[in-house]
Amino acid sequence: MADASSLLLALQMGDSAFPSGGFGFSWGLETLKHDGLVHDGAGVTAFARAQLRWRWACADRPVLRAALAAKGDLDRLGALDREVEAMSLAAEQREGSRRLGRALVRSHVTMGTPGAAAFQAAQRAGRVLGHLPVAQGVVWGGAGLDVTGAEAVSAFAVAAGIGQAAVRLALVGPVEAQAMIADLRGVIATLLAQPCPERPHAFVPAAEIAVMRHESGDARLFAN
Amino acid sequence: MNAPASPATAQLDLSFSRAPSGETYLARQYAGFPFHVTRALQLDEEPAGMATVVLQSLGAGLLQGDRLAMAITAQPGAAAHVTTQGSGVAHAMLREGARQDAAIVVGEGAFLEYLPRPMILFPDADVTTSLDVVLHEGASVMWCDAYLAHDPQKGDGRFARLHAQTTLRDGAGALLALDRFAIDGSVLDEAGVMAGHAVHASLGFAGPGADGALAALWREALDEIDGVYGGVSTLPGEAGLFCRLLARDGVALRRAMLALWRVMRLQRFDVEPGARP
Repeated sequence: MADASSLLLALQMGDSAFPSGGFGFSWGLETLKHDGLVHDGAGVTAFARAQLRWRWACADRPVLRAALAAKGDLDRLGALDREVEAMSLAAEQREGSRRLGRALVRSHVTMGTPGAAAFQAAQRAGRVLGHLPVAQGVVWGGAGLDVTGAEAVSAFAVAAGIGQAAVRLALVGPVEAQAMIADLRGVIATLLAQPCPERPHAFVPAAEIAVMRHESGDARLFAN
Repeated sequence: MNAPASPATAQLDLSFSRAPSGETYLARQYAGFPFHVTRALQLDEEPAGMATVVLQSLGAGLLQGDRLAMAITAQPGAAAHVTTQGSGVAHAMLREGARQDAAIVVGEGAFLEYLPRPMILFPDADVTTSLDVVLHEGASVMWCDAYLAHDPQKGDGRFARLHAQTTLRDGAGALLALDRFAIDGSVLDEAGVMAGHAVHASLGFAGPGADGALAALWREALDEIDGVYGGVSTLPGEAGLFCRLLARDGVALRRAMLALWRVMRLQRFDVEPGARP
């Protein structure tokens, strides 16, 4: 078990009440429901497992790690950001990731987190784009989270965010969502025990297609 | 991922040029085993002078240890359509994997379509592929990259591994788009990944006319096709359009690809593509 101060820091960074704007995003779940491809708790769990295994663990995780390791080096962070941008082939996914990253950094600038203001200035100057996993690495590293803590908080945020979206979409009830997240904790622990890929890659075609279809679709409860 | 083969050692090297008459011809043509190519066929009214070349394989498919490399260039102003005679098969690879690399350069004002049939992944196939596209000023390119998992024994055998990467760069080498995945056959069983489909494809179009109007037409076209779940979006920096497709089978995929290709041609040139043999 981590020491109490590390645990408290991780709890605050992962708190769903932290003003980072993530509640407005469903990452394709809204359209998958609309298109009849996800209609119950089992479908939500399959969606979440796919997002964790085939996107978070192989794309967000190596980017987050590299952003932590960059220790505020804006050239390295800018290069990372450009790779994330190039890999984000669905426009709403790309814009959503940048918007969430900006919101996260803004909150940390207000809190005085070391490194956040310099990153925000670089963002405003167009030197970095501030995609979510890059921004997470910057501000969580600045706040004092280590790699294990940052990865756990990042992955948990994916699971919790999907749970919240599923409740708002009436796919599951609040307690069923928590049972799903409890199950996903085991998935996350397994993924964290595996080696982290060096180069980011991702394969969640059904969700990505859904995000693309959301651009022109009728389902508009979420930003994507 | 193991290193790609050097372009200098590519088994297939095609370079299309535009003649003073406006007709596109094969200015350079090298096809070593297992590749064979047809002559340049003139099948289309528009784009004017377009050459069509069909890549053929003299081999049995992709086998373990294979290292295949293709280099295709459209010189400035040329117009070419490159396709394959049929789907390539990646066989079981129990000792080592196989690799296939394609490097495409589209010169200033050129128009290139690279639309091969899908690669069929047999159980235990272990494949690494790359498709690198360089697009110069005023040029257009349409490309696709498609995979179909199939067990000829009608069982539930799964491919072992597929690592695939597609890049789109501008003439200065700046990365515009990157699609990279590294999967194994277990994804076919994950409802959250493939949503019950056996075929995955990506298709892109960059250059003049790759805009919101075409995106809307592509979406309409996809909605008409049974057995396909597809989405269309704009590439980073509005570099072009990208379409991700899942299909029930190869027939549904073929219908979708043909529809997207036809719609692009009609929107861009106001003329249907010429009939193919």
